[in-house]
Amino acid sequence: MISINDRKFLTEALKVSKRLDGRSMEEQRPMEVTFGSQFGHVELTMGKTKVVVRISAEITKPNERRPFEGIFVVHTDIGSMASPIFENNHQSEQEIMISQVVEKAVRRSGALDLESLCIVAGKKCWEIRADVHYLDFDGGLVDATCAAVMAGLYHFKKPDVDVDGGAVTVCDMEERHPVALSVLHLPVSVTYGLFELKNDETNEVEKVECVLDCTAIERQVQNAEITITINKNRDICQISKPSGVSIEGYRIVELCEKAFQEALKVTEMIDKALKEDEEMRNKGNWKALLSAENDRYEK
Amino acid sequence: MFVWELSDTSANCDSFWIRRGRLGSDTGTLDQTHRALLPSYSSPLTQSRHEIYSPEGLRTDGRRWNEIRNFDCKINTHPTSADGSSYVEWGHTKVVCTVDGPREPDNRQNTTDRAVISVNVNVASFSTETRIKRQRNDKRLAEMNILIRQLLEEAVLTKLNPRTQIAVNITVIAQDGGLLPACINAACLAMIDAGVPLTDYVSACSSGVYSNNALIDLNTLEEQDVPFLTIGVIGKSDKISMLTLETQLPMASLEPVLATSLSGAHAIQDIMDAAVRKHGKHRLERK
Amino acid sequence: MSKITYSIFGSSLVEVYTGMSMYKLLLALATLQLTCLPTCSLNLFYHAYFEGPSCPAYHTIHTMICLPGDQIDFPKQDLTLGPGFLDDPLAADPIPIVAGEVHRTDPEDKKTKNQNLVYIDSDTRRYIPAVNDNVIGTVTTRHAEGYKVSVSDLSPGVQLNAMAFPNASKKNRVNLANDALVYARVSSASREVEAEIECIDPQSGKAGGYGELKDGFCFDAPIAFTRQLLFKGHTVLDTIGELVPFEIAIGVNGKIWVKSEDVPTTLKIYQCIDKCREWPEDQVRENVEQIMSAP
Repeated sequence: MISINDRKFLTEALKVSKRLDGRSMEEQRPMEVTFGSQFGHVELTMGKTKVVVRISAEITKPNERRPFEGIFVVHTDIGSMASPIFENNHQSEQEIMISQVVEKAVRRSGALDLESLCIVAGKKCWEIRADVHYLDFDGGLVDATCAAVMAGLYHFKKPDVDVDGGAVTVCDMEERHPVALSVLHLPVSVTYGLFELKNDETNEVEKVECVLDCTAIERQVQNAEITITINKNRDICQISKPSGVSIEGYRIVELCEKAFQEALKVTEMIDKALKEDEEMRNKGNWKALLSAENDRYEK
Repeated sequence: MFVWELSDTSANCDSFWIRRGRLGSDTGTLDQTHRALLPSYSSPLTQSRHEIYSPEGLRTDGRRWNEIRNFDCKINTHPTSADGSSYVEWGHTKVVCTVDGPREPDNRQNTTDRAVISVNVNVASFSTETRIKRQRNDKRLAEMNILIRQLLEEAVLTKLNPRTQIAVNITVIAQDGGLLPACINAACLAMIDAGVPLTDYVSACSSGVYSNNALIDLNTLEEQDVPFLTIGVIGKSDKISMLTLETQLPMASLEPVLATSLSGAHAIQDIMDAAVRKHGKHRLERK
Repeated sequence: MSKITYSIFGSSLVEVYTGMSMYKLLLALATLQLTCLPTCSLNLFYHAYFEGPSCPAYHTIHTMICLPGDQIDFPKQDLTLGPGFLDDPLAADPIPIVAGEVHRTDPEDKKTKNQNLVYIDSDTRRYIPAVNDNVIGTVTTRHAEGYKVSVSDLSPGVQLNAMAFPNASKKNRVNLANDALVYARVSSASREVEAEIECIDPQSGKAGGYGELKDGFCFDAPIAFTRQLLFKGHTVLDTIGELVPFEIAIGVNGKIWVKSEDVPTTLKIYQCIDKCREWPEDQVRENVEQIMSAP
């Protein structure tokens, strides 16, 4: 609930291109990714929004209609821990929309190669499960979730398996190095809030402002929202614009272009964080010691 | 089959916004068949092994890229049981919609200053090719309800009837692609029949792209293979109110696909308008 | 000069509720007069400082930090128990029920030697209405007799009677829109009934700074911080006051409302007050000047 004073103040500030936390209209809050000691444990903070993702793997029977593919599920349950506006075990509209957008962005876009999860066709496959826990809510949940789940998928390593006929042996993590997942691309979600800025006297709409990454208080004032998921190959994985104020088609195309720039930044950030984590785990350079590769001769 | 033409544009996807002419649609009577005047365009890319878009420019059901399926609609199909009702047959997708309201709200909490619109979509288990029993908490349907509701809230003047509820019930009898657009169009017609105050027509259309060719109004086969999006517009404006894209689409194709679906939505509005006026004339004559 | 510490509580003990000492009042007025327009300064005074009965300020000493269940060694006979203590008639000592700092009146101080007050100062995020508190509320609904106002998010609302305004009568009623902001005083807060607030100064019968707050921007702050701002003052407010004229209303329900000449200035004031808790005392002035002078 927001008072008319605050609503007016925020829209007046937007008219002069000012935001509450001093960001510019096109500036996203910087994301910080930290990895836990276990593979697939990611904590991502974006301003005050905080999200934790745990990836886990289990062997199950594949879907009858798709015997050559594994299973990938994403669970996003927003509880009261994130904010008292969410209720535990109750799917409010906001939660449904957030979980649907995340599913489309991460699962339906085919980021994870499901065929690589197959062990024995029709009988055994890997089920990869991403559990997203929301610790703090300050807007930008979809963006944070997408980035965190993708970082988790890149970070996670599943145990190696030996297949002998129909029998599958799961090797211990200590004996054999765990295997990374086959991730095809990195979809990045970018959410814009749309604000209708009206002329005070005539009450006519002067323009519709698109503001990147709105915080919780800005979300209460916004008239509509558009979430664009795009990867660095210029493939739009998903666009979701539930109704509110309408904008022209060419503006949506412009927003996609801007979203692409943001996607590049986020991809870079995740890559960097993964590299740092890799180096940290590789202390003492044991990977080089255990490797059987020889140097190539240059002739 | 009722078809319309996109004048002065090519099937290949270049700058649609500049070259799009008036999207004329012949508002003749619905039982006449109009042949589409094929615009002169360079032949589409020929690498199509699938039937989705053959080298001659024909799709799986024999349509061209700019032809929508047969859109048949009737309003006031349930005169006694609902305030407003409509029936839409779009290709093989058949949708019935009833509107009740403004009436006493189920829950008085959030209705102080405006009417609350509630949308419920029931998909019959016999509506698809194989019988699928619908799950109880289907999130996809919940999302569809939310999208339809929010689009209707844009067009309906809810402030005129505070402390009431407008209930929209949509039943899907058969689906063959374009489910969300069909539901939205049916809801708009039912609202008009019920006399709920609206600012303008609400229409929706889907369109996709197949190897650089935009295709309008996809059926099931095409929806499975081709990236597509659905837009909802209010009135004949160029502004897009609702947009959903669920499959991967290269960014270069976004603009032509948006333009195509926008034209489709405008054409649908003409058809709906014709049907509503026909019904109105019929009612007046009956008196 | 000895440092005067105020630990004033908007509590249910009306007798010990204090306003400002005359010294602090004059100092405040003097500081504000520097950059404020005459009308503005008066507003500041009324909004920011409660014009309560001129009770003398008392000196308190902060004795210790306690947790619920700790043993407190002051015998109960002559003590007046403030908030944070359970008054169990059977127990000999006061029982702390919240975690915080224990304050008691200084037995050395001549002025307040006989008062013998002890209470616990704790920092909470959720406000519980208590009589005589100045709060900023948001109007949620309007009904026949008045308004329902929310002083704390997701807490039960409080009642604001339509007659609780100066010069209100059946024909002459104040018209508040939904979601409007009001600065009010809690008039009754019993456990069984909904709390009530009023926009009228009980002593003078006039508005006294209460009423609808127009424009400006209202934001959240921790409750102990708002108490500190309201009763003790803070360098940040003084520094801002030297640079720009502004209006401020501080509600002890954890809400602060600021208004200045234009939107960017108000935004800068908000950022100063929001961040000042993190700055060490000596850096406050220069940080404020840095923020206010930025474009």
